[in-house]
Amino acid sequence: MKRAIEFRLNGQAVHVEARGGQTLLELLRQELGLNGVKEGCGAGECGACTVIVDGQALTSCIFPALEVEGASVTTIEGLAAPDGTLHPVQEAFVRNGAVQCGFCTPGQILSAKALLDLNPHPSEEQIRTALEGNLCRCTGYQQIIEAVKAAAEDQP
Amino acid sequence: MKDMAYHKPASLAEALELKQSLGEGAIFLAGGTDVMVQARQRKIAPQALISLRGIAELRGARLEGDTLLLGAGTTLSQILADPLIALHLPVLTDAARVMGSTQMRNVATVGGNVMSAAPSGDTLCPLLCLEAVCHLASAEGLRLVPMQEMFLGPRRTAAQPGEVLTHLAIPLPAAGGHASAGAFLKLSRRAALDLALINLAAQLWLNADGGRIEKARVAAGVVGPTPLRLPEAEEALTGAPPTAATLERATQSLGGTCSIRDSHRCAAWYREEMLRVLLMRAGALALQRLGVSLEVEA
Amino acid sequence: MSALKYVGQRLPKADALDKVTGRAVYINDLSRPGMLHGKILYAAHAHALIKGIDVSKARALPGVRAVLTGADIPEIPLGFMRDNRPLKKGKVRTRRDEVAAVAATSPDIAQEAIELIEVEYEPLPALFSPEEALAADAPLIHEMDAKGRPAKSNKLSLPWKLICGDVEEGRARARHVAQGTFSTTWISHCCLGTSGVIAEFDLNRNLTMYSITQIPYLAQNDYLEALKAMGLPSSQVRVLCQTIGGGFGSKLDTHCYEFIAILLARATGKPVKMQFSREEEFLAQATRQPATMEISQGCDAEGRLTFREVHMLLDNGGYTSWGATTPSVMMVPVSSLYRVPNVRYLAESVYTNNIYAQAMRGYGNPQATFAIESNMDQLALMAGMDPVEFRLINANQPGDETPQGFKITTCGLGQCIEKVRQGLGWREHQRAKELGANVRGHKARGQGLASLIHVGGGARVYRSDGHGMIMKLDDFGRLTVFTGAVEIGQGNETILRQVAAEAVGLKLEDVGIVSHDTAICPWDVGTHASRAAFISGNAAIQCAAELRRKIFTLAAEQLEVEPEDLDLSQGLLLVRRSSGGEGQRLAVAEADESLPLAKVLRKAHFSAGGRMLVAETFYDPPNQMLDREFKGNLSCAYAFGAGGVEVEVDTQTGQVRILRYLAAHDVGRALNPMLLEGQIYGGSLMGVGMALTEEVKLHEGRVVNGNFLDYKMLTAKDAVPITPIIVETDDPAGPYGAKGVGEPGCVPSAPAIANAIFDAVGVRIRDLPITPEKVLRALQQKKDEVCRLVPAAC
Repeated sequence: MKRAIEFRLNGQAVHVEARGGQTLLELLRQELGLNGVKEGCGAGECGACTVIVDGQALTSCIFPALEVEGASVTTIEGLAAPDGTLHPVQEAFVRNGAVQCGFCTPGQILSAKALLDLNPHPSEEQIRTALEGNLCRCTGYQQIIEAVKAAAEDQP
Repeated sequence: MKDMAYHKPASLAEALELKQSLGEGAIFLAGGTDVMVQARQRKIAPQALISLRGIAELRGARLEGDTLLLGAGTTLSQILADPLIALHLPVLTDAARVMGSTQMRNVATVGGNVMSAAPSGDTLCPLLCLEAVCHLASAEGLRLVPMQEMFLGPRRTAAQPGEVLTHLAIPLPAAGGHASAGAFLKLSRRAALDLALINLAAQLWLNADGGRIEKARVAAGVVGPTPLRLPEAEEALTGAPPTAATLERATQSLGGTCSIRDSHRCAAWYREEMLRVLLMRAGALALQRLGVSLEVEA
Repeated sequence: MSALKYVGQRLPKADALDKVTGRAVYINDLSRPGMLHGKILYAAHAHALIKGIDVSKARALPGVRAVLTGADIPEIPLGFMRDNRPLKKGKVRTRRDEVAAVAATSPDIAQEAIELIEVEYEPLPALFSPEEALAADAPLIHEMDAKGRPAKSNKLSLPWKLICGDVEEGRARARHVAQGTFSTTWISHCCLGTSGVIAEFDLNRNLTMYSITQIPYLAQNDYLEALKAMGLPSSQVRVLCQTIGGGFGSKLDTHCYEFIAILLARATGKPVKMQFSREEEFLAQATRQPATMEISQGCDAEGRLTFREVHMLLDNGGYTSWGATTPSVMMVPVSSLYRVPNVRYLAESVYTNNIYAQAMRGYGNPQATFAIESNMDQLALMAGMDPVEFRLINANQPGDETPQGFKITTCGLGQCIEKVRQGLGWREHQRAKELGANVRGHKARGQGLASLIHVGGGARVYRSDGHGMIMKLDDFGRLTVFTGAVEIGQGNETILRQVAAEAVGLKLEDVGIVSHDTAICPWDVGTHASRAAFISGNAAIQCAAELRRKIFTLAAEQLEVEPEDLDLSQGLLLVRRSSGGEGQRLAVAEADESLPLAKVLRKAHFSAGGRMLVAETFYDPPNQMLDREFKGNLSCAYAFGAGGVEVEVDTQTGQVRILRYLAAHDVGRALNPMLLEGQIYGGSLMGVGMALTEEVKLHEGRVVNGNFLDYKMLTAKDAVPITPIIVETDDPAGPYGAKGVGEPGCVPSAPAIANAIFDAVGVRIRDLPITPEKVLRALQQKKDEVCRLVPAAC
């Protein structure tokens, strides 16, 4: 059963048809071509599919697509400026070696962004809490945490 | 996932009507962190989902006299951010803080946690200790079920198919000037993104001069098919002085109520031992919050 | 020689921009026109005869384009012992066995079709441990051995036996001997990107594999073999690697699902994609090799090791991948970690009906080092020596040749141990411990240390350890480097850019890397054995020398000078007009004249009989394949390191918290300290997971915790504060002195933690992972033992 919905995606209005049994992840990847949203587990247990919905980071692999009606959704594709200028969190990830294989990276960045939007100067513990749902096998998290700290320090 | 109908009613009345007309094939969905996973793994195959996320009246906490009325649709993140809950029900805040992950807490609701009725559900022991009452609404009206009667088995509750959990009515522990505090502890293999191997909540009330524990509520999870109140521990604590020796005695009383089993997640003997350790530590933490400092570290 | 411009700099990764913006294309993101989706039906039993398969309902499902079973496909033997097949025929031997496969127009239809396939099994008695499988009356899991002869037992005929010196003599000479049995279990790579592939034939029956392999050229050979078996002997294969969502050794073998994709693509004439779910990844993707290890070591009165003897029993699972060959690398620490004159090592692999194992970071080294370094502490205790002093006495030294024949060139082991000792505050801690100040209530602190040796200059595990490279200059002085190496996230392309820019004398931004395509890039054995930076770096230096020779010859003609009077730096040709050339490196200030390289290149291109500059090279390091006795200089440089931890043990819960983790590594030279630290952080935490929380749990051969909730990979909240300590020894064989460092991080973690737990509470945990249950049980046993011996103390 398909239903037409409207929502804001990376700042732009979107009209799209979504199915009742569809997850937001499927809608974003399959219908809207946003492949930066990754599926790592399909069960909300790894965070690779993290997106921001109305300011809140959530795992899109277990979030019903139709729930975003009227909401504002941010994916990794919506962070950098059209000219390629990176968002400060992206920039900090690049500069601090927070990226290895990169599969978890979009999710990590969005979790970090959601944190910094709410709390521009978090403690290390708050950073770890914000990232606790984003598994990473490559980095041991240290350079990711450093990157988020660096991004926070660069904020006014 | 199989295709299914999706409804997002704006009011409770509308939700109940939908459920009545759609029948058994329709299931309610709060945060969806449980339902969506089960549907994706095809453990359930609903024909329709009725999302409760659009119903404003199910969200948030408010005081009604000496009762805190907690909307079942309140997310765990909202619980963590709520000053009323932090002030009156720190035992619930303790539990919300260690559930799942940030992304999960942003979506998962306290009502969903109750209705999923997992033996490990972290908010359940605090709600048992707080003697919360479940408000179950249906086309027939409202039914009140004490938390202690809510859990019938793993993933089975006393709610009827047509009923929606709308609120949890939580009597304020400190009502009437009582000194009361609670604490919740969870043992898991990881610091986050994990299920409890065992969890335990304790809520303690002191008498007027602080010399005795007047009332005690203790509940533990993953010690049986449902989260359980531990009456033998409560009895051992009640009337006794707030000391380490009292807590120690309470740990020795444990055993009868629980039916702890081996699972691939944890051995039974370890859960049994940890039940005593958690009781000791949660009891000490609760007393510490009451200003009684014991030589027991968490 | 002028100062280095790029080597040693903390430069960001070349691929980071694509990855932080979500633009990088993983196999999960790729689709091809007309592509079908494949799914696999796995076995319902751990050991059973397949009596019949009914695929009629699956075939009839709309959208299904092909259904294949073992009966439909030619014989394609897979795996190190050629004992595996893409789809099993007649019999299943594990719960992960592929029984049938479907290609359909969507993943959902393919899945539905899989569920419509009916298989009739006749269950056989199953064997879930090597001990069971070795019993005299045990049923045979494989009826035939690797050579097609009837098998006599479930033991694999593998030759893992190393004898150096005279162990009996060493044992007789030992004043103290410590013995112990240790075990490690199945560990999953947990690559965040799940496995997948697209197989596509063109109309000439040539095959393109959109792949995530770490061994494109060896995989190409395997695919060619399969095509031959499929009756396509003249087909070509091109392997195109996509962005890889984690490697860690999981992609060093070719796997059944890849061949199933090829078979389905051939059957349908369409591109076919296989994409694993996470559950499938846990079920079907082979793990780290589990091991049971008996070890004894002895030392003389001065604490010098006199012998080491290790016997291992390996659960091989139902089939053979690289797991069965990990003893070849387990031998490295067994023979050569510390100076030990007499060594005996024996490893036996046994078929069981469990899942099987493959390569994983360290390739057996973390397992073996867990036994060796735990036992080193046991021996130090018996000898009454400080564990750190004991290790320093026995530390390898530059110039040593180890009993296995490893020629140690540079060796920073002693320095690493010293730095970890200082960083931990070892002496202060030991004094505090004597006073009982390390215990507060039910929390006890302890410190532990473990060392490592690993191959750091390639490893000749295949006839060639080589790497081909091409460098091409364009009209604007921009360089393209064609490499056979694979970027798995470790940063090889970034390192290669740095080394190439440095070695040729160009600006970093003028160097581009082309890789991941077997049709374009020259051969490389694979991204394994911590070799990519070392081997491709050396190849770049060698290729750069050739390119510079060509540039200078060309420029010398144009400028009418001698080639010796030219240098290239930052894309500028430097010319010395004054006589008396003093070699090939000129400081800019020394040059009499400079001009852009691009100008010379364009002039050469656009003159009559135009020329363009390309250089190529093949670098094969001067290391040796082990001989029949497993001796020889396997690597041309060896990496060393030491890990030190401070733990806090909760004696009521058995929980272990790591307070500090110091990771000292002799890396030769840090080519890019930021990326190097990334390898250390990531490797160390992977080691901590192996030590404390990670295990694939099997119940009668079935994975019972195949998801990220129940398989406990550590989270950011658990992440341990790790302090990397980089020791530079400037290895003569390494590119700018560097040695490999991809694997070593995870090697010493488990024994360092086990040793720290012993230091804290006096119990030794011998079986990984070190769960709270094991710690608590050991504490209780210790208490019971004390009570038995000294009843008054209880």
